[in-house]
Amino acid sequence: MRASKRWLAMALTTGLVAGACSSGASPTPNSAASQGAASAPATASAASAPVTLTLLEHQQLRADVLKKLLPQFEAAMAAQGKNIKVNLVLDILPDAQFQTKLTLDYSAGNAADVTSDVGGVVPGFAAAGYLLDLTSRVTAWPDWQHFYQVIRNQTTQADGKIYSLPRGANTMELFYRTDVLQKYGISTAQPTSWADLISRMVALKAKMGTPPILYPAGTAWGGGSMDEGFLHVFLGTGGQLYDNATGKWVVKSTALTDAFGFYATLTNDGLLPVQALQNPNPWQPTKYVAFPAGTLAVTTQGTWGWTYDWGPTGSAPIPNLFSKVATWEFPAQSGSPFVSVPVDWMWMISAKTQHPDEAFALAQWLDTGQALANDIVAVGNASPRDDIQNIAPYSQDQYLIDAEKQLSTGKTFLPQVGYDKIQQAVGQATEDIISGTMTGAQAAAEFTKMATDLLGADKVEQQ
Amino acid sequence: MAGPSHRLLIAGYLAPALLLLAVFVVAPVLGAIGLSLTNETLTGPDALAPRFVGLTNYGRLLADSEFYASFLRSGAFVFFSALVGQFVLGLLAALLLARPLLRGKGLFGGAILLPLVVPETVASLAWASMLAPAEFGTVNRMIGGAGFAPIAWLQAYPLQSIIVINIWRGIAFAMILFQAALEGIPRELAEAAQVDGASAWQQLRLITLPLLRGAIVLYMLLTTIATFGVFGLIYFLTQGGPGKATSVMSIYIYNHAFNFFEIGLGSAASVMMLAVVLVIGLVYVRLLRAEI
Repeated sequence: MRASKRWLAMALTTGLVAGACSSGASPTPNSAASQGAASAPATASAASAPVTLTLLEHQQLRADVLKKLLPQFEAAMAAQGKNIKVNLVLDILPDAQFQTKLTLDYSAGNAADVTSDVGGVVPGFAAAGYLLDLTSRVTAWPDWQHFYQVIRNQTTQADGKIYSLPRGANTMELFYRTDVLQKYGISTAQPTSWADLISRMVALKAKMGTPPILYPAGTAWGGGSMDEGFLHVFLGTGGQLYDNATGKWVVKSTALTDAFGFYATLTNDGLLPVQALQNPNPWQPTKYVAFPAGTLAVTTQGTWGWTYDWGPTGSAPIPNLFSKVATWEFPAQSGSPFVSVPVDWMWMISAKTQHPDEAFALAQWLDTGQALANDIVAVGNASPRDDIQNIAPYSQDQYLIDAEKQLSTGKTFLPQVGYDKIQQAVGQATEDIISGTMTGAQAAAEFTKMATDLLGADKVEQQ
Repeated sequence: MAGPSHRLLIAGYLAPALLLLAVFVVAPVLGAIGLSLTNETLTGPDALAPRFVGLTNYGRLLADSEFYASFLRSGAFVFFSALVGQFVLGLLAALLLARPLLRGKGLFGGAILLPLVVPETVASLAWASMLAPAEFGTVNRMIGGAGFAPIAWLQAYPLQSIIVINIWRGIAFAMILFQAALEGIPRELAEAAQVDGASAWQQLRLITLPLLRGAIVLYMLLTTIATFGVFGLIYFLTQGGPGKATSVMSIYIYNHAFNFFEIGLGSAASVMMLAVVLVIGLVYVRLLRAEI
C-alpha cells in the first residue's frame, strides 16, 4: 500500500512538473487573424466569383487609413467586374510581439492572406516557404519601373526572386533639437566624424547634465537596436556585414569591433541614457519623453518621426516641430556623412492563400497613386516610387518628398536570411555594453560567439 | 477487497483524468522531446526542412554558460521567493490567523488573499508603476519622504525586486494551505503542552511543525514547480533584463523558442528543466518520506 502511494506521488509529481515545463515549447497560435484566414473560402477564385481576403494589421494609425482605403479597393474591383471583399483583421500589438505572432501564424499555416511588417523579416519568411513568389507578377507590372532602384533591390532576395512589395520608404538620420543645442552654445553644423560628434556630445553633456544622445541599443529595443541604431554606426565604418561572394555573414572584423567600440565610448562618457535603454519599453522614456522635453538632444530617427512620433497626431507631439527639430546625416567613422536608407515595411502574401491573384491585386492597388499617398502619409513615410509627388496628401508634406529625393543617394544594407539572428546578437552585445559588463572589444567577441551559435558555423566567416 | 470488478471500477474512475493527462501533458512532453532532437526553427531554410540532429541541442545548451546562469537565477528565485519568503510569511500568517482571540482576522486574511486574486498582468503593471524609477513611483515617494533619492528599482535591484513581488503574490497560497493543515491539528495537543509548561516556541517546534510536515512537503513541491515556471510576472516587469539579470529559465526558453525562433533548442531547454524539476520533486517526496 505504501509503495503504491509512493508511485502515485511520483506520478503526480511527474504530471505536475510536465505540465509546468512543457508549455514553453509548443506554439499554439489562436488568433483572430488565424480564425479569419481559416474561414476564407477554399474555392479557387474565378473572375466574378465572390472572394474574401483577410488583411492583418497591427498598428492603429495604419489600420485607421486602411479602414478608409479598403472600401475604395472593393469598389475599384467591382468596377472591373471582380467581387472581392477584404476582411481587415486588427491585432494591435507592439512590433516585437507582432513578429512573434506573425511567425507563429505562418508556421502554423494559417496566416492572413495579406499582411505587412518590417522588411527585415522577408528573407527568413521567404526561405521558410511562407511567402508567395511574386516575381512574375511584379516584373510584368509596368508600374514596377517607377519604384526606385534601391527599393527594387531591397525587395529582391538572394535567390533572385521577389516575395514582397514595398509599403513605403524612409531615410534615417540623426534628429536633433536645434533649440537645445543653441541654448547651450553647441554647433548645429553637420558633424563630420564620430570623433566630432562625440566631442560635441561631451560638451553638451557637461552643460545639460543628462545623457544627450540616443542610439538604440540593448535587448529591450528588439530588432530596433540593429535597425535604428547599430546598423547606422556600422555603415559608417565602411565594413562588410554580409559577404555576397560567399553567402556568409561576417561576424568578426575590425569594422565590427570599431562599431561596438563606438557604443562603448558613448556609454563610458555617459552620453547614452543607459538606464532608460534598459527599460522594458525603452522608446518611452527616450523618444516619447526626454526628446520632446528637450532633456535628450539628439537621436537616431527615421522619416516617420515627423509624423508617427512627434507630429500633431503622433505619440508624443512636439509643438512647432519644424522650428525645434532638424537633422544631421549620420557621421561616418572618418569620411563622408551619409543618409541611411533602411528596408522599410513590406506587403507580404501568404504562400497558402487561396486567392493569390486577388491578394496581389490588393497589394498592387495599395501601392498605387492615391491609396499609396494616403497610406504613407498616415505614418510619415516617403514614397517608394517616383510618380506620386503631385498626389495629395503626399504632395503637401514637403519633408517626405525631400526624404524621397535622398533614396537614391543613401547607404543601404540588404537583409539576408539570418538577419533576425544578427539582430538578436547585436541586441545582446550592445546590452552587455550599456549594462557596463563588457568593453567594446568584449562585446564584439560576444557578438561573434552568439551570431555563430545562432546562425551555425557554416553560415558565418571572420575577416 | 480488490477483486477484478473493484479494479475495473478504479480504472473507470481514473480513466478520464488519465486521458486528460495523456492528451494535454504526456503527449506535449513527448512532442517537446521529439522537437528537441531536431533543428526545427520557425524562420529560414531550416523551417522548411527540419532535420534530426540527435543530441546536438543538448550539447549546445551544456556548452552555453548563459544556460547555467539562467538555471542559477531560477534556483535563487525559487529559493528566496518561494521556499523562504512565501513559506515563512505564509506560515506566520496562518499561525497568526489560527490564534483564537485575534481581532480583525477577516481583514488581515483578506488583505493577504488579494494579491492572489489580482491577474498576473495587472499585478505586474501595478508593480511597474510602484517601482517606477522617477520620483513619482509609489515606492520612491515613500522613501522620498524619508529623504532618500529616487531609485530605479527594476534596474538597480532587478532580481531582488521580482523576488519581493513574487513573495507578495504567493503568500496567500502558502497561508491557505497551512491554515487548512493547522485546523487539522487537535487543540488538545497544544493545551496538554501548555499544561506541561512548553513555551510557544517549543510548541511550534516540537508539536506544530512536525504535524505540518505533510503540508509543508506538499507546499514545497507545488511551489517549487510553480515558481520554476513563473514567466509572465518577470516578462512584463523586466523581460529578463537589465542585461540578463532576471533571465531565469522560463525567459531563457521563451527567448530561444519565440524570439530566436529556435524551437529545437527551446524544446531541449524545456526538457532539461523538466528533468531538473522532476528530480527536485522526487527528492522532496523521498527524503522527507511524506505521505501525500
